[in-house]
Amino acid sequence: MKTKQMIDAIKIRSVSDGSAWGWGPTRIKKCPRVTLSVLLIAVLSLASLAAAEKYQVYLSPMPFNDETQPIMQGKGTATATLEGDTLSISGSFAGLSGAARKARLSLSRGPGIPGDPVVDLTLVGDVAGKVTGQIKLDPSQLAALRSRKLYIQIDSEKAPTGHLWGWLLEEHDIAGQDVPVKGPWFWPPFAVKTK
Amino acid sequence: MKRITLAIISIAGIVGGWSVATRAQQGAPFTDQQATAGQAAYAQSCAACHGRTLSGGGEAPALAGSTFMASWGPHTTQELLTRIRTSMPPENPNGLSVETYASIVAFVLKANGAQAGQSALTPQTSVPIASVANGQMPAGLTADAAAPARGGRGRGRGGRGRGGDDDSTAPAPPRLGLTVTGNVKSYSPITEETLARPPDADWLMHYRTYSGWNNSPLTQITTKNVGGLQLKWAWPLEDGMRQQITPIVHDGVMFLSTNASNTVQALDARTGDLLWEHRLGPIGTAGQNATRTMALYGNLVFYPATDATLYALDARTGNIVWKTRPAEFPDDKIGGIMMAKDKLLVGVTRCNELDARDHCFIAGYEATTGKQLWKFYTVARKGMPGGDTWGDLPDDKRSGADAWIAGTYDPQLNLAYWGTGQAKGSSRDQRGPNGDALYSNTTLALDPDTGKLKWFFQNAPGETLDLDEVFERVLIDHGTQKTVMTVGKSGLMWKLDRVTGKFLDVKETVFQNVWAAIDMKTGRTTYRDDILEKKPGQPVASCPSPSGGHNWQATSYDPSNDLLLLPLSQNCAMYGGGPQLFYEMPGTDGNLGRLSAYETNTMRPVWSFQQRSPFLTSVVSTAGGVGFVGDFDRTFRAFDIKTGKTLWETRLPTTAQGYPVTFSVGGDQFVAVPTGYNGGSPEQKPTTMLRGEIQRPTIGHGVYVFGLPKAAQ
Repeated sequence: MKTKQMIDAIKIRSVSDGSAWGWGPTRIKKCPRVTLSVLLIAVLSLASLAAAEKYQVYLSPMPFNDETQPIMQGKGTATATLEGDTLSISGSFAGLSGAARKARLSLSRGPGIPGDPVVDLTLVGDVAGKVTGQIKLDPSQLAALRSRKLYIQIDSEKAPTGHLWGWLLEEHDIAGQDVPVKGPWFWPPFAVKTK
Repeated sequence: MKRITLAIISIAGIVGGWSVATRAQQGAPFTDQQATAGQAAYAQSCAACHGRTLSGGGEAPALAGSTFMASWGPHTTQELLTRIRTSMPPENPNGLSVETYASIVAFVLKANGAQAGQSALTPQTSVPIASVANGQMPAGLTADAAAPARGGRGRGRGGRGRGGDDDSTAPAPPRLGLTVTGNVKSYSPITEETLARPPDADWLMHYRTYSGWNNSPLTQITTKNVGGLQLKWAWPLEDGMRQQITPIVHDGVMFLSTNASNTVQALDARTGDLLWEHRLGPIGTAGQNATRTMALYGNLVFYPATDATLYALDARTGNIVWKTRPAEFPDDKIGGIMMAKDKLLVGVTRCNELDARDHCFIAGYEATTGKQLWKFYTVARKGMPGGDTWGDLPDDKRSGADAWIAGTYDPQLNLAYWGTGQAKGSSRDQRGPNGDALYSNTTLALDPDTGKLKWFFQNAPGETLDLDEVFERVLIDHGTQKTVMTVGKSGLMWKLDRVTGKFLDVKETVFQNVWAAIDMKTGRTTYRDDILEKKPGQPVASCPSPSGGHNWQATSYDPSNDLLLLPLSQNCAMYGGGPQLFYEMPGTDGNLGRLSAYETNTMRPVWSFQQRSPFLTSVVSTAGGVGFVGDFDRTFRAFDIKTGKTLWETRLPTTAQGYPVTFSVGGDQFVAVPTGYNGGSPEQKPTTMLRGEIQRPTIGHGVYVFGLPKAAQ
């Protein structure tokens, strides 16, 4: 089980049916000639490669309407790396209508669904700035990360209940505006397909 | 001490009760005169979307009743006024006078049972709405049916600018009737054969062909020469109201309509010269609906007016041949219309606003005479097949399933395919205990001769987020397999067997987080738990938002490459409690628009590009390998169907909005694109989300026609 998990972990991008990127299972073909030592070396090598999982975040305004739209300005990006059970976050933002006051890692049901704060992040800056953090995740938080349920939220003096947010999504290509992407393209899978 | 305490409590109770009584006697913080003025202003500026009885419609929330009170009862009059002022009218927020906004709020309060008082409502008045209103509408209170005349050229802009509702300097309303006479000499009658196999040069119906492809066999414009397209002519349409038209072309004649005054025009499709014009009226009426489709048969052109009168005009002269009113109830509108052989099929929408007996339906008419042949109600009532799918909801509470988009037709199977909209109230918590709510959000296969239901497939059972599954049903054959495909607001692309209705496949085309599970054997979808458990007034996250995903901007099918081309929107909303709040869709990096191509046989994604601005036209594809689409930011572009690469683009005076078409006259190929605003929620959401970022005028309904330079033709 542990071996399968480690092997699965390296398949950061697995094109399934083209409707979503996801974690694909890996099949190991049985090979009677492979010695145990060779197999052990391979597993250890894969384990070291599997240590770093990369995520990316696009920070955009939290929900707004006509009245609050002038306040809810700004955007940002962040990257996150998971090594073992430690998540390291580094990001930046700009264009806020008021000084940023707080940044947090939050937990939700899934992308695009508001949730609750988990842990504070370090915030430096004003209407533009940086957000960083290093968090040791427990097993449920690790599972949440891999299920795209963790997001960064930045509050500001003009929007104290939330100004920018963005979900930690597995690393993916970002097609430029007006640049056609051939074949399947990325979005976070959500629905479970049952049969 | 006890006696003193009791006395104090008693006195406090008496004083408190006196205060309540005094407030009730004094009335709510608006005057009767103010509410009366607000009633007229509401009819002018609000009723088109929110309905004469303030019951809401589509994505315009109810402004009276329990739904309104659940959302706004806890809020103050000041918050409501601010909300309305900063967001309405959608094409020009804050465009009315402060006094007008205050009077509209006064009317809304009155419509929710508040009693007028002595003091006028002002922007500073801040009274909890629940303290003065109870959601009970006084008997007989509706918006005025006849708003002051608007919609003529130069005015009728939905209240633009401060004091825009002052009509003291308004021009006289335009004359009704046949205002430009003409006689098209060479016009060949359209037969059943013509409809089944339209001439290559024509755009004969809403989607050009029965199959719903929005595809043309014309090849003069190619990927090699499309870069040379130039404007050949342009034609303005009356501003005001909603513009989402499809130009229809036959024998070199282009038929256009504008619902600001319900005018139908015939133009020379090569030159743009006006051949005849008939102003049918009414003009600028409250409660209007978008007119997306006209239809042709014989020498007739069929037009659905905004008062739900269905006209058959002589296509050569514009004279009225017959007219009828499919709907029995005053506020019903006509949605989609289409021909199937010699039958005119008509879908009705905006039902059940005034009368509990009113339900939406699809009807079949004898095209030459206007005689109604059959009617199929899209809401299953008690005792009817499907009548047990609304829980205990009585018939007079069952509403929705609007047929607001035209269907398609298979002549070999003799089946017409229609989609229906959501059940109403839009959320389960509004509808009370209920089930799948047939035949809302359903694919219907109807016999066009009898209206008999041959089969149905419910794409979104018990839908609760205003995510319609009403859009075009595209008929595609793969070998011997006959399929019908459609994409709903949630972005799910469905494939069914169109002979039997059997579910074949479904694919997500944008990020969605409303369905927690999809059964790939039956196509049955399951909502997130929190959506199922939602209470009144409690918002839930919905990606996509009620603008979709996919909306009325139709797809196009290119048979040469088996590609279905999808214009898509990407945004989310907090929905169902208080004002809708919008946000960017996760995974899109802030891009609100996406154009995608899927191979329909395999459902495989082939290419996609996204951009900041959403697409507000349908896609049209051609055998020359070129597709066309327009967007919110005034860009109309040509792209390579195989790759999505942009080959040519131009900027128009305002948003490209409607259904582009292509046709030829005398061997020369043209491409026509409508422009305008009031495109419903696919236009309203980006208006909010892109305010300050994308500037576009809210004037400029029109049609722009492009062609190749003379030497290239």
